[in-house]
Amino acid sequence: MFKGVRPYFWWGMGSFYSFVFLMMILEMAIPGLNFHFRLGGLPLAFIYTHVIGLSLLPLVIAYVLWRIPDREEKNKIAQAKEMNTGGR
Amino acid sequence: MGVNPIVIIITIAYFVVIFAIGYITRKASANPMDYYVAGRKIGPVVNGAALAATYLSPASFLGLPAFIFLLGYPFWWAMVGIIGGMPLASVITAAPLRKYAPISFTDYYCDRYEDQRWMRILLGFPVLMGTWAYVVLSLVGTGLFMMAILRVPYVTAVIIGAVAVLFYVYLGGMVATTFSTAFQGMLMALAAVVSGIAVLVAYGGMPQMADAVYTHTPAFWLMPYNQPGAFSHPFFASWLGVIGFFFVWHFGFSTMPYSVVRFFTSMDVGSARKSIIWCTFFGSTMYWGLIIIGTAARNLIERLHPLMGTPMTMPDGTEGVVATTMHVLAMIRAEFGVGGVAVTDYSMIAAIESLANPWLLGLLAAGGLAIAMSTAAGWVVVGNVLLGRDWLGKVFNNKWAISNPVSSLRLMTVIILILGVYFSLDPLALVLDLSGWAFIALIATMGVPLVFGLWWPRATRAATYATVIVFFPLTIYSWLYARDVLGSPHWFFLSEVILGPDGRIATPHQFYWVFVAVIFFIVVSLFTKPASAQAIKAYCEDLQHD
Repeated sequence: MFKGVRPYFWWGMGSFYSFVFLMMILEMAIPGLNFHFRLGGLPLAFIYTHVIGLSLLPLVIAYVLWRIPDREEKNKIAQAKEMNTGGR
Repeated sequence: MGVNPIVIIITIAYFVVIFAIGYITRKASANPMDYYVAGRKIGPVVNGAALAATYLSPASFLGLPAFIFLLGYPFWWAMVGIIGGMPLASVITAAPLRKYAPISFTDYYCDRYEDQRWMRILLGFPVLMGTWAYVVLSLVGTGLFMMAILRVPYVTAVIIGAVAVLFYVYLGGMVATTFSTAFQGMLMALAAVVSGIAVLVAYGGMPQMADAVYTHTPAFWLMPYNQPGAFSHPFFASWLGVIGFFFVWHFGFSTMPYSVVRFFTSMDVGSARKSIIWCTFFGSTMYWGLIIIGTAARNLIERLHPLMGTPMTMPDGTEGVVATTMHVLAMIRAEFGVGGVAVTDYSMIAAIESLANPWLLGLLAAGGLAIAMSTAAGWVVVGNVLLGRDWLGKVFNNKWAISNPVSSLRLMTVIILILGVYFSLDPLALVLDLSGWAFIALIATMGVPLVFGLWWPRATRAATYATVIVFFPLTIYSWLYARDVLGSPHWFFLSEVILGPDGRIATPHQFYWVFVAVIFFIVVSLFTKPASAQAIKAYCEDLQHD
């Protein structure tokens, strides 16, 4: 089951779920983490939920899940070309 | 309140662009492949914007800020769950399905599970239910925006919206739908982010807005267990509510028919994957703005809305003045109320109205129309292919539908939109709420056999039949029971059996059925006959690698 899924997918989604559930647990365990804890006056939730969780992390993962197979594909094509031209 | 000419001009400009795209792309009707799947020539930016606009509906644009307004900060995590579910599709469904390159959503199930007739009939029912719920929801959204912002009578507004969608879907099929939807996707993201920035400017920055919200409603920022006996909303009295809302929509992007069909239109597998980056970008940009609007809405309306302080008749019949956000929303609803639309659904519009900026309202009207019409069009192209090609042509072997594929789809487009307008004129609250159920029902019944069919050779036809037959009625029954007997679809339907008469356990939209369906599908598959070796190789193993 899911044997064909490449490791980079599990790493990508694993990092997303780890981040989300860790932050949820911390928020429930530390009262006021989202609002009273601040960075430069800004409540922390605006950084870890609003920016990292909502935008940054999904965008980075979507990029990685495109970039790695895309690079593999290009390498494969380059190798095939090399073999066709006898390595010249 | 009158309508500023700037708002009208921006809205007219929006409709001109939409009609122009429909007219320019009309030649797509010459080729059925263009009409079905846009000739599989769509690049990643256009496809990504179209994906975002199709997937995110008025339930996002109006409903999610209203949820934040009502439920508080913990609902932010639900929005993280929606956007975080997008990259999942890159590997799980987008790449293998684009490689397979079907025409219809049901094609994959028929080939993978080797049943061309009954599989299409059975899977058609959940898809049609989703089409009905979402087309009605989207047309109601179109009507609400035009009525509340432009003061157009509701019936006229719904008909204008439906005619515009009909015009471009009828003329240009998937080509017109894709390009107009891409334009709409960019517009809705722009509208949400500009509105969000305008709200921040009105407060003087994010910290100031956060402090104002805290001063006004301290419980807004509470997570479960932060204060004994206190919570931002009873749904968030325990961790289950937070996790539940996170998962309700999370798997939808990878499995819902109206987003999956957009993977078929990409140029190639790489383009399908890349379009998900763009979709994530447009979606998260829009949600960035919506979170700010939803968070500030209550405070903003009470500080700045022009209706505050004006005379009103209270619910008990006495005369008084508008003093709270709920008073403002009740007045808007009294003036522009539509059937079962919840009073809080106007909170997004009222919050932006409070800023009294015609450019902003114009952009909001265009963005709102964009998101509503793009979702309606997305479901119409799912429904017309299902009815016109799959059922009429493939199941019933209708000669006219087989020899006139474009005409068949056009006929179904007209029928779907006429029915959509009919049900939108006086929408039941049930229809509008059903969008939440539709997600759980479609992910549980169709998403599970799709994902496991692609990634597990042992997945069987019998398990697919059993999952649809068991979970389609089970999801709707539990959802309706919770809604009608317990008072909300977000309570676990067996709460009273477990905790007694007043006991309530938060399980938003009965989300757990998705996980139960996965276990059920695996167990039934293990005890039933797998597909032939050829089908497993062609539609499972070969699709897993580029």
